[in-house]
Parts: sequence; structure tokens; C-alpha cells
Amino acid sequence: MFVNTGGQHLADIMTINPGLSAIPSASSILDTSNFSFQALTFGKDPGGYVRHAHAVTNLSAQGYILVVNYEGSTVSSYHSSATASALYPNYKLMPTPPSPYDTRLEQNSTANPFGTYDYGHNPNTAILSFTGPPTNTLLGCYPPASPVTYWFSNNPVNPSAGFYMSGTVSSFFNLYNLIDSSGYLTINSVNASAGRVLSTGSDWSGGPVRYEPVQFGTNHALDGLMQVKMFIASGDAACMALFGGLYSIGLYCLDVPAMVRSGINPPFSFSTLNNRRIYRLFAKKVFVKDLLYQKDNGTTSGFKTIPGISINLDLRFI
Amino acid sequence: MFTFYENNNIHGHLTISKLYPTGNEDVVFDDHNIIVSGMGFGLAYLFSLLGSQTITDYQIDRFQLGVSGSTAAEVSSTFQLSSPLSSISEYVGNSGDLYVFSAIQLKNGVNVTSPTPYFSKIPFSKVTRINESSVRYTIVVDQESCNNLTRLGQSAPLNEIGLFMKNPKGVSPEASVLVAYRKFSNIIKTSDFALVFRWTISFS
Repeated sequence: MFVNTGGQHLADIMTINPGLSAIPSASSILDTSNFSFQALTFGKDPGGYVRHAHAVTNLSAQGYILVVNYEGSTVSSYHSSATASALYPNYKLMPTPPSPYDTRLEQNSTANPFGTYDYGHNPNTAILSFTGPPTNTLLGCYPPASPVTYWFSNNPVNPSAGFYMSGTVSSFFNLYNLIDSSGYLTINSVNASAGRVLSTGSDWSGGPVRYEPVQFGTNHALDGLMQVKMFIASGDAACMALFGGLYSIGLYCLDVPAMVRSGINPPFSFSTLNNRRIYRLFAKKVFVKDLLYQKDNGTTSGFKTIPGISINLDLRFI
Repeated sequence: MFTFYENNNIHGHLTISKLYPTGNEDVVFDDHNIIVSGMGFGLAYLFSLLGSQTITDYQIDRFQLGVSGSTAAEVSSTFQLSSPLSSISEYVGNSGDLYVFSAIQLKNGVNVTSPTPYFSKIPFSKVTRINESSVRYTIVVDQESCNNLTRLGQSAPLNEIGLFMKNPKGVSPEASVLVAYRKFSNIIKTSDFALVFRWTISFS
């Protein structure tokens, strides 16, 4: 859904004063790249931010990610829907239905059990821990760049007494400084030159997200379509599954007027540690099923073999 | 792999008034417009960073008037007016105030220079943000402009108008693309009145 703030962004473009081009200190604002898509976020239902792996906060401080699997030890996959079933009627699982008036991915509170990081989408506590309380290091929703251990427990009352499966996960996003502490995954524009290539065989030059036209030929009616392509590597996908799955995606531009008002002048560079960019939601997509749903194959764990996930978001501007 | 689709909902509204020297204003047309495929074309170029590197090239800064408007042209695949005014003199006569110039027109991906496309500039001062996501383009065709138009020896009324995006591909010389179109009821333009087009585009 294209939201109203996306319309505001287009209206900004249509009314920005061309006269700025004559002012040396201001002309760089008119660079088209300041107005293209700049970030993605991922999210889930608001209740999910205090459940799943978010819920077990005492062991997070010890360097583990722990999740209670309500399906028992016979299942070595993690299904957010099983938690919702076990905790029904208190936990509804579904994200808030999208509205054109939305200004962030999830309108309801997405604060964690400590009441912090209410960003409206998945935070990146692997970096937030650098400036925030150290106990929050593993509160989701992305793992650190180096491997971190996770545990599955089948004991909701005393999780540490029910360990039955463990492994490690690490983040591609954090390894390559592609996601900031607030969970904004920066977008790399199409770059045909050599770049990072994920192990899936797909060429994701320049990063895990890119955008490109579907076709530009001789038919305008077909040319108004473009794709935002994204790839979530297995470690980031697995960690998101532990923290409640993937139910929503947000697409953002920069709020250039707000940044200028705040004294932030171009170039509007991206920084993972101290990102001063102000983002504006342009479009969002909400799902009623977890895109990271996995299942066991016989004795093979579905979770441990969770692959990366490719998502295409096709945008038609008319 | 998952693939999802999203459609934008850009829409617009056109009001045309006759403005008399006395200050009286008669509204002669008031209806929605047609956002055509060129809008999607231009925005796709913008957001895929394949077009102009200057954001103002994606702005709507010019228009054309025409005399063969057709309801058949009121579809999203329209990329040109049926019969746009074909010379500077048709636009401004001897003493009109419109700023008219010739430029390339991009028609379905093809740069067209013949017959020469003529455009009239929309002054930036007439581009108004009327709310958070809507922009109004006010086009004033003064008393001396677009008068006494003829085709095949017959008087030709104005009855179509189009808005153009400046230069989405960022080429030199500029190549403009039609982004919004509307046929309107026939208006025989005379020096007795000016025409005021208030065209509002809402981007959400």
C-alpha cells in the first residue's frame, strides 16, 4: 500500500524550488538520489515484540538467544503461529491492518519487554547495545555480525530447564554495515560493477536490496513498473524467525525537508552507528502469513536449514 | 521467491473558468482528469535512478493546448494530445503573455521533433502546494492568447489540454512526456476573456 506520506514525498518533489540550483550551498539538495528509495524495514505484529525470543530477557544478558517452542521438542522449527495458538486469546499474532494514514510500519507499540525501542519495526539491538543498555544486545531482531548461540526450549515455565536444540546465527546485514541501529536496511542502487555476492548464486551486487525497472522500452504503459528486490540471508532470516517472523515490509525515502530543517545538509550519508537520516514511509506491505515459515523434513530441522529469502516488491506508479 | 504488487493512486481534478475584465469568473468545466502512463514512466525513471540526476527534471513545468480533444484519448495509454496548437503564433497571437517554446516530446519512448512540438511554460510561482500531498497548477491563458484558432478554414475551439513532465530521462536537449490529459467542452477563445485552468494533482 502506498501511504499518504509517500504522496507527500511526491508533492515535495513537484514543488521543490528550481531556484535552489543557483545557490551553490543548496544545489546539492536537488540531486535525484536524495529522493529515491533509501531504506527498508521489516516487522511483525505488535504483540510479537514482547513474545517469542523477545520474551526471555534474562538469558539474553548471558549471551544467548532463547526461544520457547510451544510445539515441543519433537519439532525443531520455530513457528510464530504456534506461540499465538498457545497463548490464545491474549496473543492475536496479526499485524495492524494497513492504512494510507500510517506513518510507520506498525502503528501500535513495538516496544520490547523493557519498554524501549518503539520504532514501529524490527530494531537492531546488535548495534543498539553499543549505545544502549548492554543487556539488550540480543533482544532482536538481527544477530551480531559474529555468530551468536541460540537455544530452543520446550519449557514455558522454566525455559532454562527445557533446552533441547541449539546452534548459531550471524548477520549478513551487520557484517557489511547495511543496517543501522534502528533497523533501517539501507538500499544500494543498481551497481553493475563487482560487489558482494551472496552465496545463493544470485548476484546482489552492492548489497541485499536493489531496485530496477522491469522494462524500459517503447510502451509507456508498461514502463511505469519497477521492482524493489531484496534478499534476506539465512542468518538474518533465521534470527527474525526466532523473534516472531516476517509479517510486514516498509519502504522509505528520505524526509529531505525535515532533515534540512534539522540542520542536516547533503550529502545525506548512511551510518550504522549514528545514522542521522530521517526516513519517511513511502509504502508498506502487510502479510497474514509468516514469510519465514519453515518446517521439518523428516529428521532434518527446518530451522537449521532455513534458506535465505528473496522478495520482489513490484511498484506501479499509475 | 515472493513477488508482491503495489499500485499508486495518483489522481487529479481540472477546473476551467472564463475570467472577464470586470473580474467576473464563470466556471465552464469542472471534472476529474486522466493521469496517463507518462506519469508512471517518469516516476519509474526517478525511483530507479536511471533518469535525470536533477530532481527538478521530474517536475511538471509545461502544458499544451489542443483543438481536437477526444474522449477516446481519455485513457491511461494516451501519450499525446490529439491536435496540439502547432505554432507560437497560435498560442500567443500578436501580444499574448504566454511563454511558448519548442522542445522535444517523448512519445511512447520515441523522441519526436516533427511536427515541432510547442509547449507553454507554467511559471513556478503558479505551482502551489495546497495540502500535504496535492499540488495545484494554475494556468492563465490571457485575453490575447489562443484567439481565432482555425483548422481547415474553420474556427477551431480549444477542447483539450495536457500537462508535461519536464525531462525525466535527463537528456539534452530536454524531452518532455505527457503525464496528465483532459478533454473539455469546446471553448471558442476570444479577446473578451481569459481562461484560467486550475489543475490539481493529488499524489495519494
